[in-house]
Amino acid sequence: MVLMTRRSRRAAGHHGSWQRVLFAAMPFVALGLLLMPQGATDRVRLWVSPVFSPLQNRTEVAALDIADQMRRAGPTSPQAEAAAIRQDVATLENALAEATGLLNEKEQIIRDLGRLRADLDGLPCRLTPARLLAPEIAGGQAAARLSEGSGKGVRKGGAVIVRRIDRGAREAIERGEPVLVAAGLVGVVDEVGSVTSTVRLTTDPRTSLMVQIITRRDGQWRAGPEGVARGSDDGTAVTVQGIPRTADVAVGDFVVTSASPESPLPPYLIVGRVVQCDLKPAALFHTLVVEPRSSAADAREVYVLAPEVPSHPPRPPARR
Amino acid sequence: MRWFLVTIIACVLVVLQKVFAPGGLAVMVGGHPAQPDLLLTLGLFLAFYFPPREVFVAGWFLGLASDLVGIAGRLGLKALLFCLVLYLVSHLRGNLPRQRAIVQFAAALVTVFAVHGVWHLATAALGGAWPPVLRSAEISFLDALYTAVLAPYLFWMLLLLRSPLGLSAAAMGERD
Repeated sequence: MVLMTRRSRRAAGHHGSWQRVLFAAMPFVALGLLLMPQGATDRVRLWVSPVFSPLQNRTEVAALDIADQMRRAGPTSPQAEAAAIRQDVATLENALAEATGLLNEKEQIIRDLGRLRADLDGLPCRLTPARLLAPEIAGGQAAARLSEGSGKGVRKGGAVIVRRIDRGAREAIERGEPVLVAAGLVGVVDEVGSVTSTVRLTTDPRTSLMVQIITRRDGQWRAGPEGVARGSDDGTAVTVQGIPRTADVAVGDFVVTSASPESPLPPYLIVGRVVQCDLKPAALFHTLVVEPRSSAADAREVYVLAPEVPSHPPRPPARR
Repeated sequence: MRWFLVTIIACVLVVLQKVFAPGGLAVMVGGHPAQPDLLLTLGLFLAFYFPPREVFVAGWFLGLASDLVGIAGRLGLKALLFCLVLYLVSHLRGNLPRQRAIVQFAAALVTVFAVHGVWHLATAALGGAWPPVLRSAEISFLDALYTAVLAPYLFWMLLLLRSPLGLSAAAMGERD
């Protein structure tokens, strides 16, 4: 009996000490979680979501039905019912319009993919459809980015030079891969997260591409000189430098990615068309201003072009 | 405290919280869908009737659950706020007539207002934005009012489970 009492006291003591340790550690653990980056927080939420989501979704549907019934409970007269039915019809028409829009969007994606795939016929590559995210979607992180200013993608005057897509390492997206729309190159993948990635647009001054001019003279297409394209300082256009003074370049010529083996991008992706061609009297090189063929401001659906074989293939297991 | 039963109740409340989502039973006031905070109400119930240290631990886990099922803000912020505020309530409860609906209403109003208000401000500040004090206060008050209206009913339902929860007559407060 004495032994039992001693044991239970000892157990109670252990229990108390554990509680004290827990009591002291918990605020620090919370602070540690608080200091975790937003990306890690989002990832944890993604992992946890399958636990409650199925039940929550069912509950939400039931709640929507209850709310609908509650809202309808009031009017009972024929006029009121007719008004309610008219409202329902309007709601369904809106839903139909929305569904039609979505269907058109998906058909557009299929058409774009078909076109790009036809253009890339024979090349060992894959196209990953992605969507450019609105800045609001990233929540507090976006707010931070906006407040941080030009260093994080927002330029004075409103030209956006960095966008985010809803694809990341989970879809085997890698840094440096080109991002396209059907009309041409939009930008290059800059930072890859697990579920999202940052795209540096062609108009970003930090973007540097090896390009080639394609000219059309007298109905003949010709490959012109090569140069280096960079985003303009105001983030609205692309400037091409390094085109020799003697080169035959004019407004309206096409600018494509270079076929040179030193170029990190696949060849002949359309960057834009020349809209201004400056040549100072003493200068050795032309300075071209190029308007991008694809505006990231209008685009929603984009495609990430990647080689079929990843640049970092997984290592085979070590043999003993 | 019977931790297993509290965990089950918390899980049920996390699921039920979706009933009050926008489009469901959330009340739209000035563009803000006011929703009650059921997990914090459970925490408040525990703070009324259980020892402060147990309340602290329970509040921490309830806050973390609320953080995890939420869609905004940093992890750990609600965990920190829940455990501190509920610990404070469990110390201040003293000789309050805790079984009176008006006391439960007032306690829920103040607690939810405090927790949500600080959470909104801290989330805005951590996101790099200037904390919108008036808007945060308005949103928090609406949530707090909705929670306070429902709190006596939730307390009543939880008090039906007092024996399985291990609530003694002494813990219930003889004066009530």
